[in-house]
Amino acid sequence: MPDMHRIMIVDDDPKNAKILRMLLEEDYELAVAHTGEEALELLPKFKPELVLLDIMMPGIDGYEVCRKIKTNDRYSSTKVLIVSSRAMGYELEQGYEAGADNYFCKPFDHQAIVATVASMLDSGADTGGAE
Amino acid sequence: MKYKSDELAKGYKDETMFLKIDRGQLLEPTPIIQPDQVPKKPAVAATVVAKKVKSTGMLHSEFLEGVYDAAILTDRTGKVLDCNTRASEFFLLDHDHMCRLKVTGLLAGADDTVLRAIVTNLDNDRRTVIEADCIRSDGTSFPGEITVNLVHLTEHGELSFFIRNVTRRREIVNALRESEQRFRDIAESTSDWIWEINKEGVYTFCTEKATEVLGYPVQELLGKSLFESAMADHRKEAWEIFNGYVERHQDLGQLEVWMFSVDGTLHCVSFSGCPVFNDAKKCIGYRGIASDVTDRKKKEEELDRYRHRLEELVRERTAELVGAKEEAEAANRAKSDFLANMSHELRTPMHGILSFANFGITRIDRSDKGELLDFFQEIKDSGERLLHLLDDLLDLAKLEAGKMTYEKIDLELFAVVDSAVSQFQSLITEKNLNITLDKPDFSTVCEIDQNRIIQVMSNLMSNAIKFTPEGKTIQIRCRQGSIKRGSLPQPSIEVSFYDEGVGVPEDELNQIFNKFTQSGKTHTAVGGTGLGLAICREIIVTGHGGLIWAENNPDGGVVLTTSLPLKSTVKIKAANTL
Repeated sequence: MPDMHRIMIVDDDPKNAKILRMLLEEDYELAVAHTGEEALELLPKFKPELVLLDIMMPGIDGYEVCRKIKTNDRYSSTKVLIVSSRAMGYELEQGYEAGADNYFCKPFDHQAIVATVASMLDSGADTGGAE
Repeated sequence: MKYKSDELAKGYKDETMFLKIDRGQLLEPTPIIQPDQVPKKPAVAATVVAKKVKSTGMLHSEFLEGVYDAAILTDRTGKVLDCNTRASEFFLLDHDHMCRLKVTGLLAGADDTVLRAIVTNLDNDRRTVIEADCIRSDGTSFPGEITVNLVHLTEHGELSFFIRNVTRRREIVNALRESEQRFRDIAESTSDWIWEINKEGVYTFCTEKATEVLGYPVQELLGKSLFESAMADHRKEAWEIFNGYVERHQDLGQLEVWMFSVDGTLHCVSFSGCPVFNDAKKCIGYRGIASDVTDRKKKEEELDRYRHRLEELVRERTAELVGAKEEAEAANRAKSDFLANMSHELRTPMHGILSFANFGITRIDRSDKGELLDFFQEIKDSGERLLHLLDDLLDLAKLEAGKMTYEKIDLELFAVVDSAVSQFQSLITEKNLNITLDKPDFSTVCEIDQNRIIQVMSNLMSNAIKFTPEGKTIQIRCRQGSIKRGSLPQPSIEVSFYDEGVGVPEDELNQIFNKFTQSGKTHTAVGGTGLGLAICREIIVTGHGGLIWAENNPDGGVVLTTSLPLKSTVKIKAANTL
């Protein structure tokens, strides 16, 4: 389906990437990156509308990837949903400070994340339409 | 009246009787004024006048008018025969009134007895000077110095009284005496002493109190330099300071000099004073007071020492507190970090278990056997990861409590390493990694706890695999090395794991072995809890007397090396032969 929304999953843990992939692969076009570097490389090629981003990764971490997306005008309409096992209050704050649009802590509720992804993409599409 | 004027010229013995009338008594001769200080003028004047009278034949009244003093002429009983105008002025009586009186009525406390004593004195050829209060007609009085002479104007002989008003002199003398007394009282009652020195610093005057401090008698101090007894290394400085004051004619303010007393003890003496000028306004020296401030000085020094010690203590204590505070804060941070890491590490496998269980439940109808098996496999993997974490935590707890027991036997270390590495075969294949591990051509027998060393080697291998990107190489090398035990190096076997990861910043290399500490750069890759390397270090260092360290590989990545003591076969043989 050519009209499917594009989502990039960024997680160094294959298991977590697999869970997200299984939840979303039927309704969205997916790309998976296992490191921050890989994500930034994939970004201009894949042009995702939403990035599901892990935080703790070797090399460039999730915060940095988020900042790079959010400070680049080319990705002004790209949404970022952080999906991390980091669940301390200050860790969430750091995520939002880096520019994340939403934050899910692992373990997360499957239905909740699917619904959130859908709503984030819908609102994104609306904004796009208004422009 | 006729007088034998030649009698006036009669010479006196060069001897004067000084008398004082006090409360109606003629006191024993008292040298109120030293004989050599007596102004001899009246006597001399009288002699001169007498001579003049004799030579010119002048009337006595004329000669009496010529003298400065009040002059009264009486007969031997004291009855006034004549007086000059000055006498009238002194006693506020005219000449006629005066001539009706007896001289004793004019002098307080004088009576016939006194007069007789005077006459007797005079008969013995002794000039008589009396100090007495002279009573004016209005009842007031003035102090007088009265020179009485015996003259022989008639055959009976007469008395001449030359009366000088000494009110002013008395005042001056009294003032001087009072001033002297005041000075003496002050000098005696203060613990300080009074000094006077010339421009060369030599004592010209000094009060007795100096002796109490310095021990030298005053007579010994006079003529000596004030600075002579000053402490040697202090003398020049004190002298220069003093000279500076002299040059500027400045008041000397608290010049403190450490001086030796006669018994050799040191005293700090504080000199304060002002310059002394002669009539030509030239500075001829200084005078002032000196006080022994040794006690104060010593107390000040002691206080200073205490203050310094106190400051030092405060600084030390502050540093200790700051250190303790920082330590506590660091411990607190480490605890918080550990909790955050633990939360992360628990959540990750828990997420796997819950997610794949959920997939099994929600997709049971549309999943084939293979898919369901995969879900169960994922649940099992996550469960094992959780168990591994719990094992690590238990190990750590045991290590921290010192309750870890080791069952050591002699083993080929290489075989242990090889067995640990082979456990990761599936992961190695999955990540398409190249592993190089060559069998060494030397003995690697060490006395080790097999399970614990496998745990260490597995941990290091696991780290290396996590760091190394897919398709890259992990090198494991065995080398002969040595561990320094005291002064003797002991042979050892070194096992190094070379990964091709991102490496660790130099300043974090030593910290990666601390509990709960992970390199910020490799946070997740080093096994999550930050316990792995801490456990390794405990097992290697505490458990086996070995070493473990990390260094960056110049070609990239990190090298983690363990060094375990080699079992010395030579030693065993030597022991057997004994």
